Amino acid sequence: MTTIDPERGIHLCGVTKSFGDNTVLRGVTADLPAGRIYGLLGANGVGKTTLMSLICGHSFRSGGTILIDGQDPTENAAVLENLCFVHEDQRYNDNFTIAHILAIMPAFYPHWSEQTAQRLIRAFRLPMKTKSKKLSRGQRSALAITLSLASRAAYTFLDEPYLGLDATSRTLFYEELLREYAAHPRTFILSTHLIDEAAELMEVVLILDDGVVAVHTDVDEARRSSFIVRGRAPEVRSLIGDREVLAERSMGAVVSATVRGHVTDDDRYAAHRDHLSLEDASLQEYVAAIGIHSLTHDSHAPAKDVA
Amino acid sequence: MTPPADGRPIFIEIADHIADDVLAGIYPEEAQVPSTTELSLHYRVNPATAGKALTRLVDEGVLYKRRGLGMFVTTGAPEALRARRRAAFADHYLRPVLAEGNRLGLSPADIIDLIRKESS
Amino acid sequence: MTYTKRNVRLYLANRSFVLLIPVFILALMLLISIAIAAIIGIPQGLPLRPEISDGTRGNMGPIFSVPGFLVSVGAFAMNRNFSMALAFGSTRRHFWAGTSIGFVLTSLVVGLVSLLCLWLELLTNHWFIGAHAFDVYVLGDGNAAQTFATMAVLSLLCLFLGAFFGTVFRAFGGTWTTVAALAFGALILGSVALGVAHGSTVLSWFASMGLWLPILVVTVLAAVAASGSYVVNRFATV
Repeated sequence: MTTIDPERGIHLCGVTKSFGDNTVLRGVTADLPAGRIYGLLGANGVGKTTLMSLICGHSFRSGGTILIDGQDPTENAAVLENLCFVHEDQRYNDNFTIAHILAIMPAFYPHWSEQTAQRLIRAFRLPMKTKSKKLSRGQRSALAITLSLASRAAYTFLDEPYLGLDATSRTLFYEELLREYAAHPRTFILSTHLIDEAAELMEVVLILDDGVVAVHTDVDEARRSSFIVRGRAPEVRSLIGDREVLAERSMGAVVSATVRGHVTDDDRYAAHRDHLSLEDASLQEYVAAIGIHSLTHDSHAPAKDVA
Repeated sequence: MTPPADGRPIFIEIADHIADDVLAGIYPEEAQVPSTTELSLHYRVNPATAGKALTRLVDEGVLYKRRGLGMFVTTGAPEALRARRRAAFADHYLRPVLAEGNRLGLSPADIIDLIRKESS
Repeated sequence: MTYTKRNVRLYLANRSFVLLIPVFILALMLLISIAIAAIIGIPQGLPLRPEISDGTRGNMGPIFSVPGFLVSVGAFAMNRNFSMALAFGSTRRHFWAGTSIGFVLTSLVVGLVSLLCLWLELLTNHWFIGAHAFDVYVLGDGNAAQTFATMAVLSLLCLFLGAFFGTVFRAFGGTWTTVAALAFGALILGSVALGVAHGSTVLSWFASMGLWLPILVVTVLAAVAASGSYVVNRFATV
C-alpha cells in the first residue's frame, strides 16, 4: 500500500474566488494528504475547474490559503514543477505537432516516462505528425491523458479527462491510471461527470456545492450517505421523518425521494412493512441530488450561471 | 468495476469473489492470493478498495499476511468458510424463497416438492 | 537556470518555425531583389550600370521582410506557449525569461544570416549583376556591425511587440489589446513629434551617431515592449 507522508499534500483554507460580482468559491477548506486519488465532484459551474486552476496557480485566488507540501505555490518554481494540469480545453501552440509537444516534456518533468507515453500514443492511435489545432475532441482528451500520466508529476490534475472518448478508450484510461498509480504512487485529482463509471478509481471524494466543500469523505462512505425510498407518499414521508430530502419526484400517488443519511434497520423494517422500495443512492445520484437541492434552495443562485 | 445493484460496497463484493475462489479450490490452503495491486488492476478499483477486501478476509481468518511476501490462504479456511456459509444458508436463501412462496400461495410443502423436481 | 532552460526548449520545440522560416524569408527577399535588378537590367544589359546599381542601395527589403512574421512568432510564443508552460508546472517569470532568451536566439540568427548575406554580396560584387539587398543605406551601407545590429535589434523589437500584444490579449482581452496598440502607436508618434520639434538637435545627434541613433531608439522600444510583456505576463491567467 501507498505510504502517506503527513508532511506532503494540499492544504486549502478558506479559498475564495470571485469574477467581478460573481463569487464562484466562497471558502473552500480541505486537507488532501498526498498519494491518493481524489474525486472532485459537483454540478456544472460549481467551480471544480476554478479550484484546480487556483491550486496550480493558473489563476489567482481572491482570498484564503493554499499550501502544497507546506509551501505557497504562487510563482514558486520548486512547488509548481511537481504539478501537471492539462486543461480540458488546453491551448497548444498551433504550430506544434504531438511529436513537438512530446519532445519537450522530459525538460519539464525529470521523471517523464517515455514508455508510458509511447504505450498510450499507440493505444489511443494518436497521429504524431498532426498539428495540435487539427486534433479532434477525443484526440485532444487522449493527448491530455497521455501527457498527464506520462509526466509522473507528484500532483496530477485531470479535469473531465475523457470528453469525446468512447467506452474502449475510457476503459484504457482507467487501467492506465491504476497501473501508473500502482507503479508510481502519487496524487491524482480527478473531476468527472461520469461519476458511477469512475467512482471506483477514487479513494476520497470531495463534492463542491454552493462555493464550498459540501462533502469530503471516503468513497464508500459517500456512497452510503444517501438512499432512495420509493412508494406511497404518506408511508414514504413517515419513513423519512425529519431527515433531509435532497431530491424528490412523484408520479401520481407514488413518490421517490433521495434522502441524506444511512439506511437503518428500522428503515428496513418499515420498508418491508409498508411495501416501500429502499436502496442506496449511487454516488452519481447523490451528487446530482446535492446539485438539484442547492439549485432549488439556494440564496446564492447567480453563482450557478457560470459554465 | 461498477457497484453491484444491491448497493453493497465493492470491497465486500471483491472479498466474496476471493472467498468463492478459496471455496472452489482455485486458491488452495497456504496458496498465495493476488496482491492489492493485482486486484486493483483486475477489478479496476482504487488499491485502497482492494486493500479493504483483503483486510476483511484477514479479519475473518480466511487469509493471513506474511510480512514482505503477501497474503496466503489460512489452513482450514475452506472448511471454515463452508461452515459459515452453511450457517447463513437459511437466512440468505431459504427465507426469501419462503417469503416469495407465501406471496404466491405456495406452502412450504409445495416448495419442497418443487425442489425435489428440480434436483431429480 | 533549469527552470528557464525548460522554457527555452519550449520556445524551440518547433525549431524550423522560429529559426529557419526567418532565414527563408530573408532568402526570398534576396531572390526578389536580384530578380528585380535583373528585370531592370534586361534592356540595358547586365551587370547594371553603376548609377542604376547605386540606386538599388535604397532597397528597404531587409527591414520590411521579417517584421510581420516575427510579430506573429512573438504573439504565438507568449500567448499559446504560456498556457502550455503553466500546464507543465512552470512559473510565469521563468516562462518569460525562457521565451525572451528564445527571442534573442531568433534575433541573433536573423542578424548573423544578414551579416553572412552582406559578406556574400560584397564578395560576389553584388551577386554578379550589381543588385543590392544587404549592402544598403538602411543597414549602414555595407557596415558589418550596423547591418548585424539593425537586423538583430529590429527582430527583437518585433518579437517583443508581438509578445506584448499577445500577453495583453491573454490577460485582458481584445479591447485592451487595441488600447495597448494605440498606446504604443502614440509612444512612437510622440517620439517622432519630439524628434521633429527638436529637429536640429536630432540632426546633430544623427551627424555624430549615424545609423547608431535609430538602432538605439529601436533598442529602447524593444526594451519597453519587453518590460511591458513581463509586467502583464505576471498577471496573465490560463
